[in-house]
Amino acid sequence: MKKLVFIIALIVAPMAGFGQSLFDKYEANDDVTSVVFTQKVFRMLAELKLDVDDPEAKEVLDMAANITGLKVLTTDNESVSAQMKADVDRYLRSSQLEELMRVKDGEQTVKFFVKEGKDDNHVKELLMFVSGLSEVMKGQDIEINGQKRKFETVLLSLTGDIDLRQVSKLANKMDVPGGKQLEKVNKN
Amino acid sequence: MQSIKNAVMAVILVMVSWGCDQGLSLQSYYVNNQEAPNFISIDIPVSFVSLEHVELTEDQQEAYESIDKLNMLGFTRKDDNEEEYRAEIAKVSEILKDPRYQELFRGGNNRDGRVVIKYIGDDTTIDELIIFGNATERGFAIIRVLGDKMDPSKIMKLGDVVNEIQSEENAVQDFMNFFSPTSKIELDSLDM
Repeated sequence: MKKLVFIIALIVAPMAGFGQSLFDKYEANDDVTSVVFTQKVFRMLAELKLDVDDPEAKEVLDMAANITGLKVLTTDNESVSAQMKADVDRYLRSSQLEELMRVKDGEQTVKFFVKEGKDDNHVKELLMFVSGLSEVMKGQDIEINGQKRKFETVLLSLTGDIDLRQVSKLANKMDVPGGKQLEKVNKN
Repeated sequence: MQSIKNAVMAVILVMVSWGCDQGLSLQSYYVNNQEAPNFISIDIPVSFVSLEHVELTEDQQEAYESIDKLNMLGFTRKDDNEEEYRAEIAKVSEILKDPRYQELFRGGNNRDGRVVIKYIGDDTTIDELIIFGNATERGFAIIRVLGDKMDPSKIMKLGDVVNEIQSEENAVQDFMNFFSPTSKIELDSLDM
């Protein structure tokens, strides 16, 4: 019986992060672009015996080993954005996430939420929600496959044993949507 | 308690037998389709790439020997084959659902296309790397790197050597051109 509980716990544990079903719901949406890195990527990244002389880069790699997933959703559709915001609000109410910081820059709002980890500098989950990005990018004419894109909303979830002091460095190294905003995380 | 145990056992049994039933592997899909209309395939054994005149370090030699071959299958999207295009993508996605294929990355959207990168192996070595991508307007491609315990940290060191080799580039380039001159850029940008 104990074994059985253990097996079930093993199956359920990976789903405990940012609502799995919520993410799946948006991933299949026509107006949503998604990026997902699984734990395996981070595990392999850490295994790469890169010749890192730079102690800072090494710290980032060490932290990467403890990340269990990175998921990003972006959408430029207004109604999907609104829906996403409502779902995130609901998720925030039902989970133990607390607001870490909030950056308002013109029309753009970036909010960070964290789930408490082993100490002040470590969190189990980092959720970033960016809204109103379209204003900021208006002048830049960003084109993807010939179509103009202006992302309205970015939802990013990072899970694992996350060292907040390393997040901005990691964001700087990974080229994912929302990475620029993620660099704003600063625990000082 | 006994009945719960039985129920769990039954579920596990069903899942296991369902898993075995799937049968169709990526390899058999490749073999079945390489001659089919709309498809293009390339199979490059690594031994085909001559490294005689290139000096390799020990790590590079090991990496080179761990790679067996590069195997690509592409499907071109035309005006009249949308149904087939969707059906084939569904087939490949179904094959890739096999838990043997561990996911590394997935991304994209329904409008432009999606990319999935999976592999067979353990935490440190890769026996098979699979890149499955589709671009809504152009088609889809399955790229497989087959080998035996490929070590990513050593493979990366091979990168320097690749720059020195020109012999195979043409074949790969032809494959990319099959979709469109611009698709090479897209596939390049997948490199992580």
